Amino acid sequence: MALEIWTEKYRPQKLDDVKGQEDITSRLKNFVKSKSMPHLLFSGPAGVGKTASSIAIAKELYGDSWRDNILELNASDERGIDIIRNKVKDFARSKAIENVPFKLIYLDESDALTKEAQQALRRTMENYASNTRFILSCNYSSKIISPIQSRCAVFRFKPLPKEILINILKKIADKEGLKVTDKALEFIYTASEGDCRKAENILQSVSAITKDIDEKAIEKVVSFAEPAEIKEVVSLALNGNFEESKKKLSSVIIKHGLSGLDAVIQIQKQIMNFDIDEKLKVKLIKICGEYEFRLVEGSNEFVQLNALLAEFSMVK
Amino acid sequence: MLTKKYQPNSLSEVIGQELACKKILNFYKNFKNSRAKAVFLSGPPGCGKSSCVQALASQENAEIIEINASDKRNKNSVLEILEPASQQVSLFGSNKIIFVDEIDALSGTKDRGGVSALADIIKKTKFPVFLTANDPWSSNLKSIRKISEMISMSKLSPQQIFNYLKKICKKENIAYEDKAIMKLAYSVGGDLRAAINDLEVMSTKEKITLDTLKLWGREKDEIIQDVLKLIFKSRSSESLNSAVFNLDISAEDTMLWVEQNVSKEYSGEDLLKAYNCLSLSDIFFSRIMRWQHWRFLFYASYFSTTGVQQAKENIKSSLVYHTKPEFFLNMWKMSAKKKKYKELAEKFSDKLHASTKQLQKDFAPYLSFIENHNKKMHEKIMNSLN
Repeated sequence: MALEIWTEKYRPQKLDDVKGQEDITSRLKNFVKSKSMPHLLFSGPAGVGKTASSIAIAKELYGDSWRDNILELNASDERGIDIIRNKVKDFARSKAIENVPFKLIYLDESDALTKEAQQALRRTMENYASNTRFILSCNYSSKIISPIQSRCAVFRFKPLPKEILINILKKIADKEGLKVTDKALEFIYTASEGDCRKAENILQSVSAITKDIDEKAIEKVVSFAEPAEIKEVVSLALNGNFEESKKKLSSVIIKHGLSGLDAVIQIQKQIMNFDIDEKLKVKLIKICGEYEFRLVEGSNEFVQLNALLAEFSMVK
Repeated sequence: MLTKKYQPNSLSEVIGQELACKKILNFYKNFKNSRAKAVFLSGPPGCGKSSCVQALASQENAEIIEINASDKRNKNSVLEILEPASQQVSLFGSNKIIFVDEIDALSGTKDRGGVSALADIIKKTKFPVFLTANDPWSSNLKSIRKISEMISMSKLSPQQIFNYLKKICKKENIAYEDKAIMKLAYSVGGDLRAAINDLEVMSTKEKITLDTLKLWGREKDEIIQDVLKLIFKSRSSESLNSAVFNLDISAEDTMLWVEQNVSKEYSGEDLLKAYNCLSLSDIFFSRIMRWQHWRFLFYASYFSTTGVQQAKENIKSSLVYHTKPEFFLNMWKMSAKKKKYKELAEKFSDKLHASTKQLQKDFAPYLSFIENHNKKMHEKIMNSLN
């Protein structure tokens, strides 16, 4: 049964379908053609085609049996390098299909691995190099230790240009029989911050309420999906109502399953959109920066966030 | 709040204090001929002192004039509020009850003269006066003890608490294991209010089991309560240090207790300074782990106790009910949520090529939007995923 999630339904099948990264895909196509490639490192922001390219490579290399020949792992879910190593070991035991000399291992979010884990990963990459190729993906290549970088061909994915993302959305809208205004498309682009996965998810969500899509409809989805209550948390604190804002914040965090960092980022973004005195804004952003730092340094998210709110409630 | 919702409306609904209730009603009915003009109710927290007074008032349709714990209670404010109230007939001609809660919290300096003013009022009052305290025997309450009828109330038994909690569970449709409720009833040390509060926080959607309790055990709270009092109500770092030394919970838990309650005790600049100490303390806790340098523990502990103690200019005079850190409950709720995402991820991640984190951020909110607005579409999507 075909998947009804649009990010899957409209996932690129071939490297040619991956839009906006032509420099990269043209070189990847050569790897596929010659059936020979080094380890790859894909870096770049979310939703610009890193996973899509990897899957497209697998599909082009292995055809229908692609699923058996690529092992998808992500560093944030597989707890620890040992688990990754064991899975790789099992996977690498068998050979790829006849005419391709290697199987693929796609390790998503590899920058989530600690330096020590990356060292271990490097050895694993060497041990199985005879019949596997690794594709590592990450947001920031600087977080990947240089011995790994030097063993990989590094590809830096760029943010998707506006026209390209909007084109992708238009094509989907056509196929789904949706009417979307130009302004609405632009709105989706801004809200998605150039993340194609997010943009497609927004479009699909809007289609749940209407087939005639304008900005208002988009607004509904966006304000639902982004923890809008954060705005209220900040307002409460700025009005000196510490107790209420503290309560609200912990309920938002629990409801949306946010991490402390997620919360600070949201708070900072909300403040940027606030219609307040710019000097006050600078003060608030300074506080955000300080507490983002303390969150990274500290261990208890609630303590740090509450301390941030206490600062906010005393800002004049 | 469940404690509010299940506040007794008549003396017969008060749990486990039959004798005291009888005496209270008797005093109220014979007030005109009674020599004592006040009743002094004493007993441990959560045994039903305030509930008795409120139940009496609602059953007899009497108006309560109350100075509660958060008011200033020095000589002038006591006289200002209670003198007219204790003399004039109520506006609607109904009966009146004068109620001074937690008089053992009348502090020496801020509430100066409060006790003697109260004694004067009692001597002259035309309406029954009710006083409550955990400890009636402190020396500055002597003048009041002499002119009041003393009624002491005892702790509730675990059995009484158990029965009542079960009643609430049934009315509130809270699923529970008998064993868990029994353990809860035993753990609160006779404090029904605490028991109901604990019940409320644990009664999220899931069934209350022994495991829930483990995350939320109210045991050995008394020592930490003393430490909190020293932090929030005193300025002596010496007595605080020795109390912290005797504490049998971890320094990190102590910090959480302080954090949970600090905003009830401090406000304004004091609160800000206190939070800065707590934030710093938390950073040192994490530095211990990062650098494996246990000397940092001293700083972490010092900032969260003495640091917070010294952060204040003003001491709030009223007694505050210090609650358990919500942190563990929050973490538990979070982990339940994360578990849900995790399950979702295990099911779908290879289909959607996304990690738990991505599912949670990039898919979950949109899926729930669709679920809220278009059930059919949601069903279609879920079917295709399964």
